[in-house]
Amino acid sequence: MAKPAIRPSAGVARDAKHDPQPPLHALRRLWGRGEHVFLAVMLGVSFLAIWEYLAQHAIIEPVLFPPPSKTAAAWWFLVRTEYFPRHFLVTLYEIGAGFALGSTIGLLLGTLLATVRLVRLTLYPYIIAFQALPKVVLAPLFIVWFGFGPESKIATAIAICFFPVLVNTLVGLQLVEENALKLLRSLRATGWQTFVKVRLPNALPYIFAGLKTSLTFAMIGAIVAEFLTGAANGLGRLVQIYNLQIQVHLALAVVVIVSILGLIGVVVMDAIDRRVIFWRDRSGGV
Amino acid sequence: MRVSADVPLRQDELETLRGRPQVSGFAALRVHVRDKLHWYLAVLLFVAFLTAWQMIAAYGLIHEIILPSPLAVAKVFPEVVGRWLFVQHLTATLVAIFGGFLLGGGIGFGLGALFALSERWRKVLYPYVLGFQATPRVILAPLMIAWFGFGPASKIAQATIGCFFPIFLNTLIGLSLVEDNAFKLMRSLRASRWQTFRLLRFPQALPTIFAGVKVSLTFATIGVIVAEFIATEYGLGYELTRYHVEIAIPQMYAVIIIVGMVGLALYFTIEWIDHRVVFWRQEDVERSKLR
Repeated sequence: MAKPAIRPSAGVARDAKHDPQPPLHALRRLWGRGEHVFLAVMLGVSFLAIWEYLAQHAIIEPVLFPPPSKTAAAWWFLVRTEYFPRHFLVTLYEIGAGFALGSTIGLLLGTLLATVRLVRLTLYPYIIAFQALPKVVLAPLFIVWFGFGPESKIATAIAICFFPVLVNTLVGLQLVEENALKLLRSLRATGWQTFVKVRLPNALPYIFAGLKTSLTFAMIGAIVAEFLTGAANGLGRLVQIYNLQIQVHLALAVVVIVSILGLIGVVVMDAIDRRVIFWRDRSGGV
Repeated sequence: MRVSADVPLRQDELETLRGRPQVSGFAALRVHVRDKLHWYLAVLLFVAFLTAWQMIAAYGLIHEIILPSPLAVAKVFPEVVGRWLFVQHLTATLVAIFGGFLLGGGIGFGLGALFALSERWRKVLYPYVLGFQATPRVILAPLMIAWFGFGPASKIAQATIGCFFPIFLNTLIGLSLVEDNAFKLMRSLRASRWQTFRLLRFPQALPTIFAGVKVSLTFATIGVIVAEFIATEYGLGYELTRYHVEIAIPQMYAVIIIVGMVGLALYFTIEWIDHRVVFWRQEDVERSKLR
C-alpha cells in the first residue's frame, strides 16, 4: 500500500489508531499546543526575576521599586490586617453601586434615544459634548455635592460609566440590517416585536462591550474620587496613604489587589456575555 | 458625496442633486421646521437649562455653595482665565497630555506592530494584555508621583500608561486581521514582507488604529488630570483642587467648563485628523443609519 504523499497539516485531526508516528511526536504536539502558555509564564517569571535581582543588588532604588518578593510579603501582610477588609468592602460597594446604577441609566437613556427620533436628534450635540468632557474633572464637584462618604464616589463612578453603555445601546439598537427590518415589516410585526426579535438581539453584543468598558470606568471613577477625599476609606485612599509613608511595597500590594478585582470583573462579565450571546462568532481577534 | 457611479444614491443624495421640490409659503415653513426642529429644541433646551439653574440659585432653593448661579460663574470667569498663571496652568496640562500621548502612542504602535508579526507572541502576550486591560491605570497615579516626582514627568508618565494600551491593542488587532484574499493577491504578486505591510496591512489597520488613538487621547487627558489632582505644581487639575480646598465653588465650575472646552477641542481635532487620514472609512454610511 502506497503511503499518501501529502502529510496532514498540524491542525487536521488524525485517526489515532492508524497514526504511524511514535508517541514522541504526540508529546511534541502537546508541547506545541501548550507552548504559548509556557512562554507566557516564562516571560512573567523572568521579568519578575530580573526586577528582583536589580532591586536586591540596589541597581534600581529598592525603596521606590521594591523587589517582587517584598511586595508579595507585603500583600500577605496587607490582607491579614484588621483595617484591610473595611477599605476593600467600601471600594467594592462604591464600584458595585456605581456600575449598577450607571449601566441602568445608560441602558434606559440609550433605549429612549434609540426609539424616539426627536429626542435623539435634540440631544445629539449634548451627547457629543459629554463624550468629549474628561469626566474625572467632575469628581471634586460631586464631593462638594455629596460629601466625603461613599455617595460622592458612587456619583463619580456613575458619571463616568453610564456613557459607554448609553452609546453602545444606542448604536446597537440602531445599526440593524435593513433586510431584517424589511422582513419583519412584511410579516406585519408590531414595533414591540421588532424591538424584541431584531433590535435587542442585534444590540446585545454592543451592550455587553459597553458594560465591560463601563465596569473599568466605574473602578476609575471610584478610585479617583477616593484620591480626592482625605478622610475616607477605600483602596484608592490606601494606595495614597502608603505612598505618603513611602511604603511603596504596600502600595504595590494594593495595586495588585485592584488588578485582581478588575480581572475578576472582566472574567465574570465575559462568562455572562458567553451565556447570553451564545450565537456570537468568536473566531478571529486576539 | 460618493464618486463611484455604480453605487445607488441614497434618497437625500438624490434630493440634493435634483434640488428639493419647490414649495412656497406655509408649506416651506413646515418643511423647514420639520427638518430643523431638533436644532431649535437643542438650543431651547440649553436656554431652559440655564434659566432653571439661575432661578433655582436665585431663589435659594439649593444653597449657593452647592450650586452657584450661572451668572456668578460667568462673573468669576474673567478672574479665573485672565491671569498669566492661568496660561501656565493650561500649557502645563496641554504639554503633559501631548507628551504622554506621543510617548504612549509611539510605544503602543511600535509594540503592537512588533507583536502583530508573530502569532505565537500574540498568544504569549494575551494574559498580560487581559490583565493590563482589566486594571484601572489611575490606581498607579500616586506611585507615579513617587517614581517621577512632582514635576511634569509624573503627569506625562501617567498619561503614557493611560494611552499606551488602546493604541497597542488596536494596532495589534488591526494588523492581525487581514482579509485572506488580499493577502493571497499580495503573495501571488510576489510582494515582499515590507511591501505587504506598507500597501496592505497598514492601510487596512488604519481605521482600527485611529479608533484606538481617539480612545487613548481621552485616557491621556484623564491620566494628566488625575495626576494633577494628586500632586503637582501646575495644571488645570491642580487649579481645580486648589479652588476646591478654598471652597471657591463658582471658580471650580469655571475650571470645569474650561476643561470641557479643552476636551472638545481635542476631540474635534482628532476627529478632523481622522477624517483626513482615514478618508475612506465607511462611517458616513453608519451615521446615516443613525438618523
